[in-house]
Amino acid sequence: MDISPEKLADAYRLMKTIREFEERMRSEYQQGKLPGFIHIYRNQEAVAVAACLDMTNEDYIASTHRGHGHCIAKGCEIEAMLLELACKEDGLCNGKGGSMHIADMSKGMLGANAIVGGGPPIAAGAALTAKTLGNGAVSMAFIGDGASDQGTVAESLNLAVVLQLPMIFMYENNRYAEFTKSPKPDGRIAERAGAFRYASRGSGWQRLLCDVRCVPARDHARPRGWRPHGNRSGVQPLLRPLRGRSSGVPRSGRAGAGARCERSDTAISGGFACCSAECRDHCRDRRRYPGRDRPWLRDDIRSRRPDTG
Amino acid sequence: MKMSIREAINQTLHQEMARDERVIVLGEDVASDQGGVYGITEGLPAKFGVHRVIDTPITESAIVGAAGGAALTGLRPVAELMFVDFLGVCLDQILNQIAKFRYMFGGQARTPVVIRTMIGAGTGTGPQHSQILYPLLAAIPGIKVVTPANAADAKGLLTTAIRDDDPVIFCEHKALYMDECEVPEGEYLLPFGQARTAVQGSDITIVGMSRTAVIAEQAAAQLAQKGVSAEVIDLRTLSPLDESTILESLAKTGRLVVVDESNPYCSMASEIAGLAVEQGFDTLDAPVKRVTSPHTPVPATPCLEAEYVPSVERVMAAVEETLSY
Ligand SMILES: Cc1ncc(C[n+]2csc(CCOP(=O)(O)OP(=O)(O)O)c2C)c(N)n1
Ligand SMILES: [Mg+2]
Repeated sequence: MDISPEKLADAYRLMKTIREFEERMRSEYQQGKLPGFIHIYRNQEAVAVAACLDMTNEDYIASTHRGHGHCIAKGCEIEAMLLELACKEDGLCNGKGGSMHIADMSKGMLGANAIVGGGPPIAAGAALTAKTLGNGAVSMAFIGDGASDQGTVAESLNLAVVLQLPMIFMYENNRYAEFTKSPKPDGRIAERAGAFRYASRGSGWQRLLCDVRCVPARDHARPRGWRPHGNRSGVQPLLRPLRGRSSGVPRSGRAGAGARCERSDTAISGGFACCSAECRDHCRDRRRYPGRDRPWLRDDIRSRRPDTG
Repeated sequence: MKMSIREAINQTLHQEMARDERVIVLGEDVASDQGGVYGITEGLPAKFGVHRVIDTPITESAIVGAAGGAALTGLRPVAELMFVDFLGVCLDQILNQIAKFRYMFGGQARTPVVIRTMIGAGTGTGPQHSQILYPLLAAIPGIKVVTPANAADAKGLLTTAIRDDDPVIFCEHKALYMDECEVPEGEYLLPFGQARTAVQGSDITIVGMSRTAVIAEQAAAQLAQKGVSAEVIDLRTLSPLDESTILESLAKTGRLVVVDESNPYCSMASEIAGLAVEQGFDTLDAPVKRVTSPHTPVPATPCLEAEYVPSVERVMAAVEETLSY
């Protein structure tokens, strides 16, 4: 295990931030206080956090319709996120996008996406930028198990191999796509990518924080000896199927989404459970999770600014 | 019987599937207990089985394309494209494939496929879930585009669509699903290319479609109180387009306002304004006015979204401007 207790504590803090943020957004949404469709990232925290833990603002991610956790993990400012979810003028996208289109170019967060499967080609394009400029950046696409069926995903897998792009395909298999339970047997996603000769690193989210597969993943996608042009060897896109679970949000009037809400799990403690005792103690010592500033607990956020954009 | 558009569509699917076993339904979540996001396909899998009510993976190109292929070879599929915005994912199968078969293969092919899809703003879901896009579809020769504004029309037009031998895109405005009206019992068909004169009038013609037909009717009611007699035409189908009903009404009133939730360029409003100028020029007493959405994506912010779509107030203002020309 090659992760420091400090880093693990950071990871835990981020996961806890996502959890608290999402719990609050869920209750706001259920009370009808947030517009549009909101997809909650609860129970998948470990995936986003581990995936982005070793990334900088120069690296890119292309998110999904379930994008809040990815935003937080990538370092987006929480208050501006809140304002965007409430569609306020000072939100990350001036309230023009809302939850399903939240984005922050300054953080390399290329947008949540209301088109399932819309993200991977965009991430491939960002990887092409990184390759062309030779700046060493890495690009990652988050892909739901449902989204993995879209042609755009297969096309991006192929393109990334053909163009030898520094790209990671991060699958989040929560075994549901909207109301439909995924009929895909576990592992099939990785097998598909194998057809494109991908190196695939599969593991459950439980082991994520211990294994910190993301660090080697990132190094793998951005290999040593990387040069912008003419270097065709050694660069290999990487596929990572991970499992987590999330919950949908029932909204009165929308038929039956409640079933998904009932499914809950313990990604955070699960992540913890398999940490070493040393790490766990270290995290416990620091009682500030997720930090003192919790804007999502304040009630003034909704009324504070006019939602004109 | 009084029912909502949602119920009328559900009932029609039940009736047509019972009548003809070649009718199948396929799409994302259509066989779920909830009957999809808005419960439109509720009860179908229990009645007709999951071999005829088919849950698909999230793969719009293949859903629409396979529905086209099945139609070409003898089935009568009703495919669901959950939101019309997802047209972006599957446009080739519509534009270059199913719309072309009949003509391109010299008339030997039939493609009796219906693509049901949700259109329109009003749910605060932002740029990728709120578009109208029917002018884009109406611009493609080889497909028919249907835009019901009430439950009775939804039933009559969907029945016709399922029995039609050409591809039909059936556009359901999500803000209208719960609107109720009297719906004829039993078998009910409405011909394509025949507009509905929703309100008779003599001072001005207001043309609408889908939700804007409802808005036009509301505006007409308010205008009546001000002593203005507005005639409201609900197009019902955009392709084929009932040109003669529009031109006849224009000949009577001499003034025309078109209300259309599309973006203004290359909109249905532009098409109808063009028709009026080209074929109704002598009857026009004032310039044609178009009331549309602006030339921007749909904002997620509810307060901007409310300003974005045509409203009764904007229709009233356009009518007053036209009358005082
Ligand atoms: C192109 C497209 N098709 C369908 C939808 C409707 N839709 C939104 S979320 C979703 C399920 C996605 O499942 P998955 O990729 O597994 O992500 P999860 O919701 O489980 O995180 C569907 C079908 C969409 N938004 N875009
Ligand atoms: Mg899923």
